[in-house]
Amino acid sequence: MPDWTTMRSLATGDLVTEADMEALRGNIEYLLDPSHQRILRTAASSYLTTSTTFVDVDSTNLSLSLTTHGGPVLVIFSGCVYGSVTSVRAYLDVAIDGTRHAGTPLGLLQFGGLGTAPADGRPAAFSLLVNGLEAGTHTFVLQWAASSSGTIYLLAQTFYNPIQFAAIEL
Amino acid sequence: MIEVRIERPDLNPDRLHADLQAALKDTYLGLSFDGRAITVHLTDGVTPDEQGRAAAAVRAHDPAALTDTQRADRDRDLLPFFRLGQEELIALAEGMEAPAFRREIMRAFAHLRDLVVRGGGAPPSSTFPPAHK
Repeated sequence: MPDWTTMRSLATGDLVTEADMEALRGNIEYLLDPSHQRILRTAASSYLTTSTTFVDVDSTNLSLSLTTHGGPVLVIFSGCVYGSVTSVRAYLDVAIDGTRHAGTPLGLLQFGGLGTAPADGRPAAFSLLVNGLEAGTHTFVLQWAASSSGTIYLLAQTFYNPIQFAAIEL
Repeated sequence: MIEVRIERPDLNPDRLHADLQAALKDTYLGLSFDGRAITVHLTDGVTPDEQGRAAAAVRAHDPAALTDTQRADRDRDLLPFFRLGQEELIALAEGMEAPAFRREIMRAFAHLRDLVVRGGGAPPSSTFPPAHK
């Protein structure tokens, strides 16, 4: 993957060097292929949690690491959620460098009215534009929590729906 | 948050959640499962002894054991079978595939057995299912 290079400012009369052109070429390549990572996760069973406090869904397999150059990052998630009872609600969020992004008690978004079987799973998805990240390597981990009334499930089996979790620097 | 992670591939999350809640009270925040292991989420102030109790509960967990709610749900599912009249039962049986019919019969026998045992009556003297003579 190409790197972004900060180019020097040129004024009238400056000599455009081979290094300037190399940086320009590299930056064009970077814009065509920006820093990004995508996970399409399938597993032998669904993920589940009863935790009423936000926890990682899977700190190993649903964690993105992105080296950015200070630009905004678009984080994308889609999956299929169901519950042990219809009254349980699912809360979703993203931890960026260990800090939950929304910070609110119910997370970035919540899902209610869940079905109670894999076949009744509800589509869950969000796009999150993250601004203000300094240049460097950042981690993005999908987190979730349940309301106190039951268990929530996130489908991942190959015969159901994979989980998509992706991030791209814009 | 302190997490206790135990490798095991199966669980009844509702039952294990209820057991951990009863054992650990306010120090217990919930459990998660990722297909490979069960993670018990505990408050920061939890003692090593409480962590050990959480681990022991996970290791001792029987995935086949039901919560009271799950047992009630199962019984409720069975009730229509018992409410049907003789002719309706026959019509129902005729419309069922053989494996489904056998499964329903066994569920009905199991339900009857549970009713006898939980109802305070003497458990059936024979084994279940009854041995062929």
